[in-house]
Amino acid sequence: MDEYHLCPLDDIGNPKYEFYFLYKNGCCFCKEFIDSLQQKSDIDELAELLAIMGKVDNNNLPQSKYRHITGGKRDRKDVYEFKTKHLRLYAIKKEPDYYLVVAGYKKGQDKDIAKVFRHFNYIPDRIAIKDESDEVEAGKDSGSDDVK
Amino acid sequence: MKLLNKNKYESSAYWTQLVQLMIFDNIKRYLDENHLTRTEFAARLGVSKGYVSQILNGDFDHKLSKLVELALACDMVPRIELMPKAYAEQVVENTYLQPKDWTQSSVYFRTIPSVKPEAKAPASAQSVKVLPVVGKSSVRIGSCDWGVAENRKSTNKIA
Repeated sequence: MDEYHLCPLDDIGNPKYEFYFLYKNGCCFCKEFIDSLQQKSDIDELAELLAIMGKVDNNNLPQSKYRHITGGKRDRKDVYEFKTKHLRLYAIKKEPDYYLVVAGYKKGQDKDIAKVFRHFNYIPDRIAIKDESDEVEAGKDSGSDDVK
Repeated sequence: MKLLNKNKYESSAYWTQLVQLMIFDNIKRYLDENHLTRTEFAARLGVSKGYVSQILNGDFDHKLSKLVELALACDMVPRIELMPKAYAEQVVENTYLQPKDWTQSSVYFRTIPSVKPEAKAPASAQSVKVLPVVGKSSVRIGSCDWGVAENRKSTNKIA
């Protein structure tokens, strides 16, 4: 059985929404993507994404920065895209007040986003939240701080 | 866990994006409240429709003079102030992410419905200037009080 957990992102600062990395079986596509970014231009665009995610509320951002992914034969209807010139982050919006950040890509590499989201067709209603220190201890202790 | 492995407040890209989103927010709100199309707004500004679309895509990165023109085209004036870095968190929260009202916002030029033109004051009440006394500073010009003052000395007909 698949194991899911969330890791809170505490530098977004959005007054309405909380953001979490979603891990499945100890793996987070988005975290791996972000860790792979080394160039200054990418880091700058990551900072821009921080601003966009911090500002997001209902329909208060331009479509070129934030949009609902619709159409196609996607299984999930609650996927949103945060965009800068070259970077894309994908998140599942869970009403009323949080996003699960699932994947990230550079422009042009996101053709297979549907495949990624197929991994997340099923997400349990209650997922344990672990902070960074728990992450280091992963495997030793399955305890959690909270449950969403 | 952090998305960015450095202090976001030190990133110029972060602040630029916040300002761009704030400008977008203001222009869009103005267009919505006044039922203006992009084409009509472009004509008012004397620019192309594409230029307005560029602004409404959240990509405003032009000259300062263009920002002023934008504000004036919205019947507003820009209000910009620089704050010490120590207040970065409060500035982001109060000004950009959750502005409570226009006085909390550094870059803000939306319509203020409650403000109405004042009736013309009698001649004797006009041109009043309060001079600051040693201590707290204060400048009062007409009906605008720009500070808290104590022991003001009022002198009529100076200005």
